Amino acid sequence: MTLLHDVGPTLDLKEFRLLRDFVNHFCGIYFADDSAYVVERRLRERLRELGIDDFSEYYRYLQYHPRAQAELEAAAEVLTTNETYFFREAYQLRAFTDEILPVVRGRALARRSKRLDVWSAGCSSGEEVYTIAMLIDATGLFEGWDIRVFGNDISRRVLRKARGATYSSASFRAMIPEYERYFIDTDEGRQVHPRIRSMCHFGHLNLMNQRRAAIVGRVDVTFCRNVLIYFDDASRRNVLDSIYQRLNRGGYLLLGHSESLLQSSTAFEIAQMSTDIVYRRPIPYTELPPRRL
Amino acid sequence: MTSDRLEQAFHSADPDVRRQAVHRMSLRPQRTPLTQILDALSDTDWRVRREAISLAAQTMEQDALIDALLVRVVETDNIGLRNAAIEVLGMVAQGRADKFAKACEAAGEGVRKFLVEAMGKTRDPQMVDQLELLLRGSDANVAAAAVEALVCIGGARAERLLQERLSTPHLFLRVSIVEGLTRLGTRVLWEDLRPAVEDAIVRRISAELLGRTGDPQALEFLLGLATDASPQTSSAALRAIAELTGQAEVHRAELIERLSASNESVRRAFHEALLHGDTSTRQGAAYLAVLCRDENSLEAVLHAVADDVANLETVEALRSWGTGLIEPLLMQRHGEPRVWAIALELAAELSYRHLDAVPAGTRDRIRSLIERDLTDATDGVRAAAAESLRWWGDARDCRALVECLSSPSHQVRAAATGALEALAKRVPALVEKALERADLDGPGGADIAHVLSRLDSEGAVEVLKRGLHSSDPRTRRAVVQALAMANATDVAQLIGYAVADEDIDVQIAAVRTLGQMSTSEANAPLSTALDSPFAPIRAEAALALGRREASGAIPRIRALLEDHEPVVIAAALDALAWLKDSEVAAAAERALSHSDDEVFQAGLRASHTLPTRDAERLLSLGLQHSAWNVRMLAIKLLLALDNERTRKLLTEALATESDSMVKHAIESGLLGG
Repeated sequence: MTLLHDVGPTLDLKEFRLLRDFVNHFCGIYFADDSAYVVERRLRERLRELGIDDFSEYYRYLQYHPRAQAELEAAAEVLTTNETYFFREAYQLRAFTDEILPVVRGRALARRSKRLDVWSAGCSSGEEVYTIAMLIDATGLFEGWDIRVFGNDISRRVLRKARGATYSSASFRAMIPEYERYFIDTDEGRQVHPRIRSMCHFGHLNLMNQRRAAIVGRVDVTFCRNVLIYFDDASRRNVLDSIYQRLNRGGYLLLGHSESLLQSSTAFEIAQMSTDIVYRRPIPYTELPPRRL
Repeated sequence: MTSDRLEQAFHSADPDVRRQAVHRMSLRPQRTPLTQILDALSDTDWRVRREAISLAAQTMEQDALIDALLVRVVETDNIGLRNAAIEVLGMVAQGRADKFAKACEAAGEGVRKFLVEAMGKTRDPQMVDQLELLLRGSDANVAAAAVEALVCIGGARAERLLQERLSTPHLFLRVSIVEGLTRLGTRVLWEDLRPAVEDAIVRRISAELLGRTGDPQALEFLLGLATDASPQTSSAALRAIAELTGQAEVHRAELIERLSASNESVRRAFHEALLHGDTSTRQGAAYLAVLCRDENSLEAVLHAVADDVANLETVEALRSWGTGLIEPLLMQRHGEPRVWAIALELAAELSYRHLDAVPAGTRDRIRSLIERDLTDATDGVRAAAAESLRWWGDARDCRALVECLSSPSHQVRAAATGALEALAKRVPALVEKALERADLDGPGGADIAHVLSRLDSEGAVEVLKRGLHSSDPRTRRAVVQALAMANATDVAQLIGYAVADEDIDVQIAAVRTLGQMSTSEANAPLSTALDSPFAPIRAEAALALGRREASGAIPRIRALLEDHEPVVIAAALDALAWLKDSEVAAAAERALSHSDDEVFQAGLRASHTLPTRDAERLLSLGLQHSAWNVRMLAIKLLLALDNERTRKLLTEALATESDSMVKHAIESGLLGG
């Protein structure tokens, strides 16, 4: 429905705060008081779908209905922002390919392993997951390796799109020409090459659920870009704890360009790259190579 | 971990071990001596310092800590320590303006600004006196730091001080003040702002403040900025012009005239912003294009509406454009379907609202376009055509609209439902006839039930009864809800069957509908529903019986007070209060010690029905509850009692309340608002 006929139940401040806190507790997303109008417009769709007349009743539904859990997921789905595209924040991706991947490769080989695990936490429609896989492939450093790029999201809708791997022009606004070879033109849009798709896996996972996050296993690098900006402090700390637990020692965490851990977690150390600053799960001091004098 | 091991870890060469040691110390802060806290704050690793900041903020030796940090802020060369000290001071030094004043006096010129930064971080209004002196002092660096500190503290006095210094000759300071006032959201008067923006550098960062003046004289400056080579500056100017125009009620016509007469480069900048700007810039550009009645930008404006970028003011401005907009809208017919859908809907609405002013030929054209598009392949266009029939619909359209109700698109069905509801008021018999053979088993079954509920006729009830056999639970639920209008004994029995429906939402709808019916036939199925395995059904049944004043159900509803589901206990208590049960007082008291918020709230509601003294005592318990919404309810109910004692209770609660919304509720309630 367009703004032309923007009608439906209204959300008063009290209802907004109750719903906001409920959704926040479920998935970490936090809406400030001035976002009430956005929440009202987005949730109206859910009320229409359920045949519910007002937001108080919707709140009760979320609290007590046997299908409340599924509805919470549906609410989170309409409330989340899923804006993403291929090769977003290229300078950071350069740090990933030129500096992080060689280090991670060296560490794996030292363990006599040829496996690389990367997690895209909050992957939305999958562009980041495929970008990571393409970048790894293009380095040529991992021929014959077992590469696993895992993407998760709370929205089943975007995961369907991610698995479909077919995208329209909006996803290519920052496309790098040399990676065009990884796409096949189809009637529905441009589809990621099957070889890249075979490296990528997707799962429905709420980042706030620490126990479920164990599905991800141990990873060498985590991308969590422009996800935590939608969370409140407590939820951010909760998610960062999960990410920390999932990272191998010395594993890297890449956040969005406007995000920082300064106020959220001291568990990670800063790793200065030539084109970006990233975070790293510390390696125990005793395992570090001796300093050169 | 023992103290010795903690001490050992604190001196480890491994920064992560030191970090963990300080983290552990922060779990027992009173056992950490001040010297160790200060050592931790000066650690070489930022993560250790960050943990140390949390630790320092918890120490009991606050005065000694503040004294030590005030010295370190000015004396140390260790940037990490200085920043950590500033942050800790910001957290703990509220109410210590005198200490800062002395420290500032003693500090050298180059380092005083660090103390000023810490003063700002305290957000303590008591610091403003000292900051005023520094703002007026001769050191521009310190004055600029004072600006930043005043912005952190905020408030009317800080804003006034900043505005008074807007005409300072120091460019650097003026820039700081303009940026600060912009961040504070201050509305500066045009005559106060004008001297500051004479300088081109200051002007470029003043767009937002210029827009907020509401003065038409600011427009010339903003038009100049709108064509700035920097996209950030030109976008900010454009948004500011939109705000200026939106605010200026008296001078709006004058501003629009000036904007409409602006030169080609300004127009190009506007158009570019409308097409490629960020969301808020597009929003502003769309608004201005409509206000200026710029037909060349109409397609881009409609795109903005379709993208959900345009704001309500823009939509209202489109409506206010009047009949002159109709032809340009109809010219969008060959454009993108979603743009055309909006154009058609708006043209239909405008032509209907200004019926006498629209030529017959145009009206006929719109009518035939609506008829044609009602079968369009694009859902958006089809929905727009159906939506347009809210105004233009007549007897001829009933069948086509009923066909729309079979569409798999929710958008199309919702628009057709709205149009049929409007028609049901004008030509109910024809709508009923068109719906006679409607497919209640199709995707639009629930929508059909909705329209039928508006008809209030025996024929409609007969069609609705058919819907009870639908295989789609959404349809069955809608039918049950719609049948509330019938309120007849045989219908109550049919709805009673729905209490045993396999879908829980149908059951809930049935219980609610039975609760609304006056026939006594409804009581039996409602009593059965009290035994439902589903908690929401038991709760709804108790509420329905309570509303119906079915006092015979009291014993069974009392039993629900022992239910294991909070929602059921809360509903039972509400029902018993409505039924004026003799055991409500005891039940309310028990509810007010329940851990679930909903039960507690039901306890408050029930308490409100008790004699005043008891009610006051029990309701006051709600003021101490940890959940803000529970406190809000207690406040509302105490305000409803409104006597000297409840006012005293609320005044006391106000002193300790931390939630701004709850505070406001008490304040406005006490004022009689």
